[in-house]
Order: sequence, then structure tokens, then C-alpha cells
Amino acid sequence: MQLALTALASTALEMWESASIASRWHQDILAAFENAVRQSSDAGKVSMDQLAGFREALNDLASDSLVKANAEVVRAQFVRLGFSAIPYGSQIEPHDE
Amino acid sequence: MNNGDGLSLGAQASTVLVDTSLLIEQQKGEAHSSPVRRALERFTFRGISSYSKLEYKRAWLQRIGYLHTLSRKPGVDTVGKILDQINRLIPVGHQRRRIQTCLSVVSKYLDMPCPSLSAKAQMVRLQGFLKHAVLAATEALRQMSTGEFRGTGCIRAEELPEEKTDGSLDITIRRCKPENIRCSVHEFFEDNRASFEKIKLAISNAPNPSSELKRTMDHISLAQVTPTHLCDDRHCSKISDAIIAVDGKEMSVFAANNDAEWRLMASAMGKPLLNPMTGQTHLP
Repeated sequence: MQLALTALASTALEMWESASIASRWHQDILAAFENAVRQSSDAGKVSMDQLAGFREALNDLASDSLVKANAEVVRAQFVRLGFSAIPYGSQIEPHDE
Repeated sequence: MNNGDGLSLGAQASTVLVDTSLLIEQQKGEAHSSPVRRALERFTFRGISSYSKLEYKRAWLQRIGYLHTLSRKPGVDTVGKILDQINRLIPVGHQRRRIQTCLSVVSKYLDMPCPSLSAKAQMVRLQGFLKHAVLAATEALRQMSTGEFRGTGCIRAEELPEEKTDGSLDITIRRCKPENIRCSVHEFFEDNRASFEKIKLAISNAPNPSSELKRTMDHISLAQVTPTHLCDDRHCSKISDAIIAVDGKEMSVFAANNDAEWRLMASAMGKPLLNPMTGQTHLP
């Protein structure tokens, strides 16, 4: 499983080359997807629901035409599936000035 | 004090006030988010103060959003050029260091070996991650609570980050002045004068209060004379924990991870304090 997740994270990374000339909704979905896959890869586990979420995001990425709502749905779904918005945030000291 | 994920709170403890600190913890990596989510999920009602939404935005979404803005400027096509912008635009001091640290952490997170990725693609990826962080954290804010208290009628709390049609993010937090009152924090203070007095008294009786608590006490004293003192955003923010505690005082349990301030807030309001990060519950 770990190997598959690492491979998926690498695939997501390589997709940025084509995403850089795609629509911003494709870029939004790829960012959400890679963020989620990275977290699963780091944790070394993924649930069936999360896998279904990955699949849906990949299906969207394969579409030629996307709208803002597509990106919003994917983003909300990954939040609902328990993926953190700012997984690197533990190293950023919040402040309130 | 009790250990064990706050299980000693009893079956009647079904409502909880979730402090800003725990909203933030839930959006970090799994080591931070899991204990908080586990501890809170057994409460049927998880309330937040609208003032926490403001803090959540101010605490770090603004910084990440600012990096997103810089990364979209013409001619900024590498992380190094974002750093140049930070050094050029932000005066030397805490704020500049915080934004530099934020950028370095984000860059490190994204630093996976992929020599085939062009500089442009790497920049688009960075922008994508920054934007996702802000918008997903905003979405998470909607999902993390089951209810919101709006005692102060804080209009700035309702100004959530938004994506504009050109793809930029609006994370502006507007200023408030007593000459142009747009909220009801002063009326909230009047209505809950006794509760704020309890907090002030608890701070004055504390053996070694933090500087933040001392500042809270000072500003409560000023508001007791002139409640509209709080209608300046530089003042209401000084008593933010007290506002959140009073706003959620109908909840049976308070939950936070910054014990230094919240043990006192919870105790003054007669509530147990659950700290999911330590798994401890402090009884009032």
C-alpha cells in the first residue's frame, strides 16, 4: 500500500507540467488531490472512502472542461474525508497580532 | 485534573465550546488533528464563537494568502523572487520573519525530487498549494462546528476568504474604529458585564498570569468605564479569549490547547477545560 501511495504522489507531481497550461480549475483540483495523496502517503494508509475521493478527483482531472463548482466540490470532499488543509502548518507558529 | 481524553466529563457533557486554537490544530498534520477530532466527535454540539472565525483568519490564513498574492505578481517566477518581494515590501521585524518562515515551510513541504518539472510548473504548483490551503481551511471552518455564537455581531468575522474572478484571493480584514461602530461588542460587554468581571477578578487573583492575561485584564477595566473602548479592533483583539469564553458560556465544556489562558477562562466561567492535545481535563 505504501509503495502504491508513494507512486501516486509521484504521479500527481508529474501531472503539474500539463496542469501548468490547463485551466485554473484543473490546477485547483490537482493541488487538492496531491495534498490529500501526500498525507495518505505520509500516514502509510488510506480508507476506502478516501480512495473513492482520489478516483473522483482523477476523473475530474481527465475532463477537458471544468468549472469553479467542480473544484469546490473536490475541495469540500477532501476536507470531509479528513484531510488537513495545511498539513505543514505545525511548523508555522500562529500569531494573533 | 483527570487524564484520558476527558472521558471523566460524564454523559451530560454533550456541548462544547471549541476555541480557535483547536480549529487551527485540526487543519495541521495528522499528529495534531487526530487527537482533537477524536476528542470533539463525542460532543453532539460543537459551538464556536464568531470571534474565533476572525482569529482563525488572522492567525495564519492571511500569511498564506499573502504568499499567494506575492507569487502571482508579474516577474515573480521562483521561490527566491518571492523572498525578494518579502524583503522589499515588509519592514524588518517579526512580521517579515513570520512570512519568511511560512514560505520556507511551504517550500520544504513541496520539495520532492522531480527534475523534469519546469520552473513554470513548479511555480503553478506552489500557487496551487497556497490557494488550496486558504480555501480548504475556510471550507473546514464551515465543517468543524455545529453551531456559532454571534454575541458581538462581529462583521469582520463574516468576511471569509474569497476567490476573485481573476483567481486572486481576498483575505482582507477591515479595520474598526469607535467613530464608525459596525458591531455590537460594546452592547455584548454591557449585557455580560458580570461575566467579564469574573474573568478580570480571576486574572487579578492568579498567582502568575501571562502577559496576555494581564493585557486582557487592563482592557476589561477600560471597557468597564467606556464599553465603546472595544469598538476599536486594536482593543477588542486584546480580550479575544474573554469574548470567546463569554460568547460560549452556555456550553457545558470548554476545549482549548493553550492552558495558560484557557484554564483561567474556563474556571472563571465555571466550566471544565478539555485539552485534547494533552488528553487532560481541568475541572473548575
